Amino acid sequence: MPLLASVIVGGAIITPIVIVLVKSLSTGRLGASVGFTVANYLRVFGDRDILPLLNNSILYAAGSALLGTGLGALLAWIVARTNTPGKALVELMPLYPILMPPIMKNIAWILLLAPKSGILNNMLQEYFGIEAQIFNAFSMAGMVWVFGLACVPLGYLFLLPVFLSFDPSLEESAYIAGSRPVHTTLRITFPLAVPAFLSALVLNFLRGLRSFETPVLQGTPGNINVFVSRVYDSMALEFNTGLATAYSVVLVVLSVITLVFYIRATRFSERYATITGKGYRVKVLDIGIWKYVTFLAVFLYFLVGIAIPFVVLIVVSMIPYFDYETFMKFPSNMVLSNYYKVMKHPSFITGLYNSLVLSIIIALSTVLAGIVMAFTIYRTRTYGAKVFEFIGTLPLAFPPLVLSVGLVIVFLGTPLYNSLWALGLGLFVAYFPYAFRNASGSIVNIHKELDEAAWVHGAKWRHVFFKITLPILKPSVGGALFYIFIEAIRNVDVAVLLTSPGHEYGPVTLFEYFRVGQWAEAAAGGVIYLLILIVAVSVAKFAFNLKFSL
Amino acid sequence: MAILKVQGLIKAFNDVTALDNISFEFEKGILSFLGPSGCGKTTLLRSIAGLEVPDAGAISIADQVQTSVEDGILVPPYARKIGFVFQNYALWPHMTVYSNVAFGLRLRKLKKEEINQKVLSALELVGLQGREERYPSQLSGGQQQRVALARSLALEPRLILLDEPLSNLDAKLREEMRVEIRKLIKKVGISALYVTHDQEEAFTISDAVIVMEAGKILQYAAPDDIYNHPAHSFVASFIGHAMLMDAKIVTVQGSDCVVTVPDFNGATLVLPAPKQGAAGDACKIVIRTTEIRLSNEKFPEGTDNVLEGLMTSREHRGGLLDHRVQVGSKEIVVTSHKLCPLIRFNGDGGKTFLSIDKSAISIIVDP
Amino acid sequence: MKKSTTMVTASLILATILLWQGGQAAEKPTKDAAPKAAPKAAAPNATANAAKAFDTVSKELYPKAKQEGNLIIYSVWDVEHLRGVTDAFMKRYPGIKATYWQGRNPEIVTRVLTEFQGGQSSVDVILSDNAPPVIRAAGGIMPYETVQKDVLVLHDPTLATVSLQIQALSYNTKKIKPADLPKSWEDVANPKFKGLVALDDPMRAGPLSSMLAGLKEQWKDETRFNNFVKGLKALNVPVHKSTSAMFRLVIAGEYAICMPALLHDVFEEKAKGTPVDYIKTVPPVVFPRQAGIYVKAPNPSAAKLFAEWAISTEGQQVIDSVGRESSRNDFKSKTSIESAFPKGTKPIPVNDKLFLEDPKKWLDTYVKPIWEG
Repeated sequence: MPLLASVIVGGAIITPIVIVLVKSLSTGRLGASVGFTVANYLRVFGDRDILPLLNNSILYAAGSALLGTGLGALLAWIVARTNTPGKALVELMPLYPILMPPIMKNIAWILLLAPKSGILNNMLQEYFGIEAQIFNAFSMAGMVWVFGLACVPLGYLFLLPVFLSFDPSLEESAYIAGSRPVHTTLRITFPLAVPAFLSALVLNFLRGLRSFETPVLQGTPGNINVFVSRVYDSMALEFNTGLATAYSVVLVVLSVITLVFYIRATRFSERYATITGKGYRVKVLDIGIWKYVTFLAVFLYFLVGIAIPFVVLIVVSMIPYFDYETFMKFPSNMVLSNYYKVMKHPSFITGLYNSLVLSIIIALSTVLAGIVMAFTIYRTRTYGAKVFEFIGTLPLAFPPLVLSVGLVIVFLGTPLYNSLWALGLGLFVAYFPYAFRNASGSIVNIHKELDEAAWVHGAKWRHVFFKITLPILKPSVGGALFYIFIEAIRNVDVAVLLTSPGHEYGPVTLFEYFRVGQWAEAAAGGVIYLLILIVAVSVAKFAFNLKFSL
Repeated sequence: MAILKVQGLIKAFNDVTALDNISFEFEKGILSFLGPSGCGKTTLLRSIAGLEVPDAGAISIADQVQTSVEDGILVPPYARKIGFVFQNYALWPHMTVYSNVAFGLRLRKLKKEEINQKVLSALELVGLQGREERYPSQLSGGQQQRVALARSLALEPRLILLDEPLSNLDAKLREEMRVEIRKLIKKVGISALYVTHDQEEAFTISDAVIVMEAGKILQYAAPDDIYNHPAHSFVASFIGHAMLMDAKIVTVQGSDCVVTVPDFNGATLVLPAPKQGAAGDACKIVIRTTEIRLSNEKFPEGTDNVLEGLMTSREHRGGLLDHRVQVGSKEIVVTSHKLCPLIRFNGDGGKTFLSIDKSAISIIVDP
Repeated sequence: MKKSTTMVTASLILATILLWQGGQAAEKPTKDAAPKAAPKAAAPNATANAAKAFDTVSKELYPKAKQEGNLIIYSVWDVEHLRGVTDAFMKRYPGIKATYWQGRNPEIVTRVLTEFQGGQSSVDVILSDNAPPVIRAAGGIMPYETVQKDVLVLHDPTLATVSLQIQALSYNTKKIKPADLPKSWEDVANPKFKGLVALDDPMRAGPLSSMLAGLKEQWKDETRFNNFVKGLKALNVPVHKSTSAMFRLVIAGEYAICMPALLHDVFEEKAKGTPVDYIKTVPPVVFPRQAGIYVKAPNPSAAKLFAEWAISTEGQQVIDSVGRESSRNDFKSKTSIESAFPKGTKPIPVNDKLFLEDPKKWLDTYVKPIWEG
């Protein structure tokens, strides 16, 4: 039964991808089908810029993934395992930056870090007399900083449950052997969190490879170009779906290599079983005076992750135009015209509603399907189940525009086309990999004996699944649900081709403002969105006590 | 110099008192903490290891204070120079057997050759030589347990603590291992604290046993003493192959006393007198069923404590034979094997005579 | 679905082979697909004639359109603008339900062509700048010539020009003094502006590339053109892939000169008091924004009615009110060339057929060798 479910889900995922690949071998300009051709691939491999572009892409993706996942893992450890003061606050703070919509981050950080006109450089000049332009948003460092910050949530949400359900006897035995807490953390706790860390790292890396907005907004003005721009140029300049997909195939190959590395690195999954059958409480480490440092660290992340960009956005949404002097004059020059415009926008409210409802549905369905598929791979003895590992992560390798082309073709001619179902399925395919990787990383950590205990007691797979695996996965499930909900509710790339007149999607509405350069209005819309999300998350946390942790 | 001194240990979790003013001293050897789950034995062990912090009391190992709540002393677990074998072995899954054992040695900044020699000899000690490069997940339960032992022994601690180390093994392995563990510990020449809920195990392994219940020490003595002279009805009920029955003292004559046992239809039994107790006192008697004679013929005159009953069934249990005899309202189970001298039985069921030596009965007069 | 896909695929293969053979689409045999070379200035009776022609065609088309009952538009325009336009259209012609889908040009093209290959009758009007000619080259456009052609600044016999993209050379008034400003588009390539210019990426088929197409056609001088491109390259400034973002950065003071900016953006910002302005002595580049009719439009009469209405004075008033430039040469508005630029200014039109239908090819041929060396 889980196998059947996995096959269905796998089929749903692989169909648009296969169509896309077929197009790369068969399509010329303007989407015209030209029969089997390798002309597109010849163009790709004849592109003399391909290596420097790939180089930039890998550097950018790897740098951001390492920065973000590392920081996220550290935050997870601090929140889960140390006696950092202000527990309630500290648990909550890393969650809010997740709500920051992607393009909003870019706007805010460009305005903060631009070399000549940026807020920070000008402040340094005004208050400290520093003439040199220290910060530069239009550099590899600037790009890695902004996208790296966007990668932190994944690291945090993947690692938090692992640290919270860590078997304390593994650390206690280290203490007995003479290892002090720091040494134990470094040699025992962290190494055993590696599978979950790698899961998050791989996901972030793949996101970086296909990331578009940050490299375009911050890379191009600094003369740094990444590979994905070729894909988009093929679409935007030549309207050549075939060429775009052929370029995407290069990214797919890269992603496959990354996946292979990941599977190899975690092949001894039993070695990493840390959640066992004995019930226990996780031990909180007393880190002495360092607890103030860690509190500061969490707070700093909160500041750069959301507070500072949010403030910048609020100000930008309420001043007539942006330059440093006008920015600093706030609030004496405050105007609310942008908010009026946004609220009067014809599809803002509908779009907001649609995005809320759809995102909840998507989050629930992807997470459940992800667990089923991970269960099939690691817990049933199905032959060749590993192929699902590959399929489940595949959509990540494709730039969203290309993926949505495949989806459009799949739905064309069916009554699903031009409906919210099409958008829902599209989002499902796009976000399934996150749910799947999360479930994979977590299931690997659950010791087989927990299931086997159930088998022995005569449980069929569904008993094991519903009564054992699912409940134990609850903490990480909470994290995955939250993350996917937040991501889906801000999605633009997949949504844009699959929305239709009458079926608007909130973020798409917002970002058209951004596209036409109306950053102030975009900021206003973003602020409204952010406020709604903050309220929703806070309500979920406090009223329903929805735990994103154990 | 006692290897272990515990004074006034108190520990409560929420409303549950896990340790209720525990005090004792142990010279050296192997000491077991025996009791049902929830009695506090694991909490006691972990407190001695420094993994739990008691609410009050003091602990000294080899005359060095490790825990003293009043004086604010709490030596951390990594400085107590002890070994600890966990119930689930707690082997580090990402390290080989070799690295697991070498972990603590490497922390002491010893030379590579020295570490190597210590690791290999520890593994040899537990019979796992040749498996250094395996990972814990590739070993059987019994092998993992031995690695856990080796890991502790390699550091040559002065005291080794074991928390129900055999409970995950099958019965046969358990029986083998408990003898092996005792041999091993004696060979290495250190003292050990052993937590278990299995009375047989505790009695086989230990030099002394502390029986615990609800956070209190009920009896602290050598295994034989506990077996022969259980001090508390709870202790008695815990001992295997013993029957605990209500009785009433009729008379006390010198070193003996006579009791009536209602469940035996009021039959009287003679047994060693209790320390305190007078005629008319209610009491409990403990009959060790491994010392009951059985016969389908009458016993000669003057035999101690003869009872008459009906054999209801006999069951084969491997090489053993369980005889079930109904005496009064109680069923007594007497186990024999082929060469057992106490059982002389011909035929199947029917009238059965039992004879219980005075020394096979203990009396408990609860205050 | 399979059968129709195969048929469409087969016919597309044929069409594509023909396309690739010549580069000149011959599938629209009778009509001359190239727009007229020079933009037209206002002629005295043209306005009245056009009004009459519109009146006639409107009366003719409306009943048919009403019967169709629907109008579906794909556009790059802001949703607010689309709403404004469709609301006005629906008020003027009750009984026709107008809905729209908004996307970027590549998305519109992809979507329309995919639907086209799938044999779908999914849209009526494609309202955009870059998209209609490209779709036309693939056979996705139903050619339609407006009856009001004489009042248009830029006219194409197959696509109705309902608005214009007007480019202006704009600058940050706080960062550069009027005396130091460039004197022409060409002057921007002067080395003295090194580091001061926010330059649109010429290779991405955005406004700058259309400017190059327009200038090249006007100058008719290969050397002059090449020197201009070389000069821009020598400015050694990073290029931007978004004119709107670029404009924001000029406002912020990161750059002084915006090469190029869109006229209506400049007007909108000036109205707010933003320190930007444009150089009136530099003639604007104009690029047509068209309402192309989909070849398989389910509501063709409604589509034609919309196109005509959009060009009519009342339609243009609506378009002007949402802040877009008029396509008529007799329309008075802030952003019309007459009022925004000195009398006698000759705008630079973008007419190059190859550029319109295959911008990448045009850029690869004329700009890439210089730009990428």
